[in-house]
Amino acid sequence: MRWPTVAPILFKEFAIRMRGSRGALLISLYVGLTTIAARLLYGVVAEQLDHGSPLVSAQIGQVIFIGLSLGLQALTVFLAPATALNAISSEYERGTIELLLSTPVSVFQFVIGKLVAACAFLLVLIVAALPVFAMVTLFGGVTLADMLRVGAMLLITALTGCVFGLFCSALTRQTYSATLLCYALLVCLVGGTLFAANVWSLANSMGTAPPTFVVANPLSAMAATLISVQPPAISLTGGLRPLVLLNLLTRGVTDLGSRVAPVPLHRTTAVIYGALAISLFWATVHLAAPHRRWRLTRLDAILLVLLLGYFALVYWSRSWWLLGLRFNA
Amino acid sequence: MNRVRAASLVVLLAFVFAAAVAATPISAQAGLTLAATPAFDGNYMPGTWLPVEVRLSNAGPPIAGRVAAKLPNVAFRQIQPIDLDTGAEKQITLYVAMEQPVDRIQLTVERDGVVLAEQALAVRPRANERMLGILSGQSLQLALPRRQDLSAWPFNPFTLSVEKFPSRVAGLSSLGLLLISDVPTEQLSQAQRDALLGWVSAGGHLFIGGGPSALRTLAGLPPQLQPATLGAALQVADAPLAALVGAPGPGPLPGVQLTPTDGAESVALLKADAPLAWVTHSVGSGSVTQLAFDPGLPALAGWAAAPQFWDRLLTPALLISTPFGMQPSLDGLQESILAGALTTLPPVNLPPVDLIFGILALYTVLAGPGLALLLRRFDRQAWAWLAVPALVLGVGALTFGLAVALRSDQRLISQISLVEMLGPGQARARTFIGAMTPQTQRLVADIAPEALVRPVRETNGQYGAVSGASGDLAQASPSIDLNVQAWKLQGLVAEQQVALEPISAQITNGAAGLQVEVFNQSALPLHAVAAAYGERVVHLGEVAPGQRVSAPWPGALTSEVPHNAAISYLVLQAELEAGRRPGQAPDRRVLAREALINAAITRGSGTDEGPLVFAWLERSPLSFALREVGPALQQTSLLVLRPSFSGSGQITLPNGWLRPQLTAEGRSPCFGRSNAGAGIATTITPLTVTMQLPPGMGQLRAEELTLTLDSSGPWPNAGVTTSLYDWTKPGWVEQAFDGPGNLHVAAPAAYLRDGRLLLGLDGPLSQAACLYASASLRGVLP
Repeated sequence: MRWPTVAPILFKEFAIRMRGSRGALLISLYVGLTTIAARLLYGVVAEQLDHGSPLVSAQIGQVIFIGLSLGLQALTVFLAPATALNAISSEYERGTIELLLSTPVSVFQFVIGKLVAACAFLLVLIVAALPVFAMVTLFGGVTLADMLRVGAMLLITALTGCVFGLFCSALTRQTYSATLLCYALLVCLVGGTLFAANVWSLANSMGTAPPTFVVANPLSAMAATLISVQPPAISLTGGLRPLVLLNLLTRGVTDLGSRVAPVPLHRTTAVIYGALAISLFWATVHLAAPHRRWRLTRLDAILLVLLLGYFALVYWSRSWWLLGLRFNA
Repeated sequence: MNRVRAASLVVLLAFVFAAAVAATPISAQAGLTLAATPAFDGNYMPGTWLPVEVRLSNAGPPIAGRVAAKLPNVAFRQIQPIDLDTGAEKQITLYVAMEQPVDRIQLTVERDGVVLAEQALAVRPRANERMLGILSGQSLQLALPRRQDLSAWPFNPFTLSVEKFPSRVAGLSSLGLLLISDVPTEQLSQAQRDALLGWVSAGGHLFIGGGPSALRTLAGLPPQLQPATLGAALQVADAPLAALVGAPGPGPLPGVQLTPTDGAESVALLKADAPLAWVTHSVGSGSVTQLAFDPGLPALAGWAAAPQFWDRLLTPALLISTPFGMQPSLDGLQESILAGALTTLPPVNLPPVDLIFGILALYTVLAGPGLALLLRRFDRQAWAWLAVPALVLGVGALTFGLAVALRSDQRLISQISLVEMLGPGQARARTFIGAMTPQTQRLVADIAPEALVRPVRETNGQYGAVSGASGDLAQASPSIDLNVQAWKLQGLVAEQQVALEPISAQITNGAAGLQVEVFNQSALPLHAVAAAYGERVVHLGEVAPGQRVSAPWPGALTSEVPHNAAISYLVLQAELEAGRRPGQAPDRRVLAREALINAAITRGSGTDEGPLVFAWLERSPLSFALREVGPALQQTSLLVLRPSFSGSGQITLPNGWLRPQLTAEGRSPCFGRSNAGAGIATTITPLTVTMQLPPGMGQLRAEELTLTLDSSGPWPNAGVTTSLYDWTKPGWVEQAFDGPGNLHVAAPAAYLRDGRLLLGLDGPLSQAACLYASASLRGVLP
């Protein structure tokens, strides 16, 4: 891959994304919603301070952190594909794809350029929301490791979401159809898995659903990431229970119960998302080509090696991420 | 080889020496002598204070150190600072909280952590025994039952002297009984008299000897501890003594005439015109019994049934089950309630968040449209890729910096004080402090030097557990250290008998009926003052310094309240109900108040004390406050007054004054019907229900009496006999009553004696399940 060939596409994409009001509005929307969420969470906690179980300052920080992280994850899940949904289809719709590929730019460079631009914009959105997390610092209760773990989960979700949006765009070659397909699948992924886990739970005497039901759910994965953000180990707390929300989002999979440690469901999710991102990107490279889509090239060999290398890494680290699938651990 | 051996030996010796120095930092100071003596020969009731008299003399260089007392396996020590010049001799009293049934106290004199002298004191725990103090001018020969002759509650008598009589309540706390006879009590100091009053109010039973020396024995005692006025010398018939033991008496005893004062509710009297053998009067949680005869009479000592007599007469005023066994004090019960209430921690101090949210709102506008418009003006929209991260960096640094600067103190301090008026100018104050901090740290508290401090006993409150703080707890010192571990609620309790300007409460019977009046002669404003008794509560509102506020006692219930509803519920009904609505959680400040009232009224299986007046104080008269600035602090102080009763003539008492004793004869209350409160279980028949008027109304002569009986289950339609005990006959008199409902008692005066009425029920009562009894009456007070 020659970066100088990718650069024009990147510059063009970067310029287009910040031109007009769409980018600015998205940033405002993203930051504004995060700020409003923080204010609402703070208001709810402040109202309950006098009543029920006493809360320590750290718990207020944790409540805000958990709420913000879940909110950002939800926003990212639905915004990430949106940043890439029209990246390829618009070229087809405008009829510029043939022209673009007649230049020295290859299909791979075209796709990677679109992906990097979408990811970069999403990264800007996530970074732009960081000052809101100052509210967490105000109350404490969250460690740097917690923040880094949440940040990593957000980035993995953003990357996978962008690749998924790009894939839908390349598959349908129509923005409208890509949007429909993408969000239908997302709703199935987020809502459907939780629904299935609930049905399983109902059919099994309200037992805890197996982790496989929710392992691909990005909200469940973020909830699992946040399980380790726990109140101080004192019995005086518990009036406001953010962990209940996390438990609901994971259908009890991550519930500590009698376990000594929570199930790290998010590790398995990250592994799956990694494999999914590489596979979808590979498929997108083929789908984006206007002609001879499935002709194998040297790039396929490289991507195959990359995928096999990834699987080897996953196999090697299986003791780390398989914990996330341990049922009733 | 020899060199190696020598080197090894040197190293070994050095190691042994270093280990010895590190393990025992004792450096006996030449010329310093320590001699300590525990009170009551080292016998103590676990869970109380044991005074230890420490005598120090120093023939060496001056010492500025401290005396410390430690029990095995406890995490705190009681210490007192000392300054001993060369040639100085000093005597101090160190009060040791006997929080464990141990047999040894380790006393040390230390300077900068180095032990200069030490002594191990042998002590002996005496749980479930009668610790009897005897203060007598003569060698009192009481024929007490021997330990081996009793199946339970053996006696442990100790002789006290006026000079060594404790001047603090804590010094008497190990005693359950105290007999004063033939002693010129005017020689007692004011502090000793106050201690005596405090001890009786806390649950002690004081016996005052009669006979020829009764006048000088009674002369120096506080008026509250005088249940009778003394009259002429006379011969006291032995019938009450014989009746108590069920054996022939010792014959007439020389004594004095006793005339019960107002409020003396129990007298040993068989005939109306016979001289009284003794008079008992409740004082707070305790009692005072005035004997008409000298307890040291040879005739009494030689009486064959004397051991049984003393066994039955010398009984604790109340007995409460505690982790240390049965104890004649409510302190343990109250502490478990109040220490548990420390878990109702205050809300954290919220930092000023508006500034940060303002910055974030501005940032939201700037990062989006603001920056876009600015860059568009210069046609440099693509620069947003750099401008947005740069703005994030700037705003992030600002907000995170502000957040760090504005971060609030995460420490939570809960403080609860119970102040009980003992008499004019005297109050007993107990303050509980609980602290929870995010880091293990030492907090410093300013405290009145006269107060005694110890860790709270580990207990569970509504929101979790609270345990005692550890460390060195100073006595006779203006400050005290409180060592707390991270995220663990730990507490201390301080107690002191304090001087408090008079605040009085009175219930008067006049032409307008019963009136309750509170007169605040102190400088303390009283908030939300309320008087409560018998399911009635009178809210008197604020009573400012110097103000006198009165209100009529309600004749009928103003709202639907359960039978025997908790007084705390009656007083705080509106606030508690607000917290019990669906989706609501109770306000923790209200819960702290509820706990304080519950602690103030708790009697265990003891008898009802009558009406109480509650007032909220802005601060406790016992000075005990953390020196720290910044922690979230919640202070709740309750003043409890026992109103005196005055008035004569016609009196009408609605339901609630003549109350059934639910826990009499070891019964447990039953709760048979929702919203009906506690009742009496009817599982065992025949059932005797004792109904009692509050103290001060024992002389009431009933003219009209209506009993109201109800039950949670169906009242049996046949086979139930209802009787009342006729005190004048004496014997049971069957009543015509087919229940449930009202029973109008004819000629009720015979059934009410010393404010007590006995109701007997027999038959197939078990189907009635839970019995609810109440009574209204009209009568005359002499």
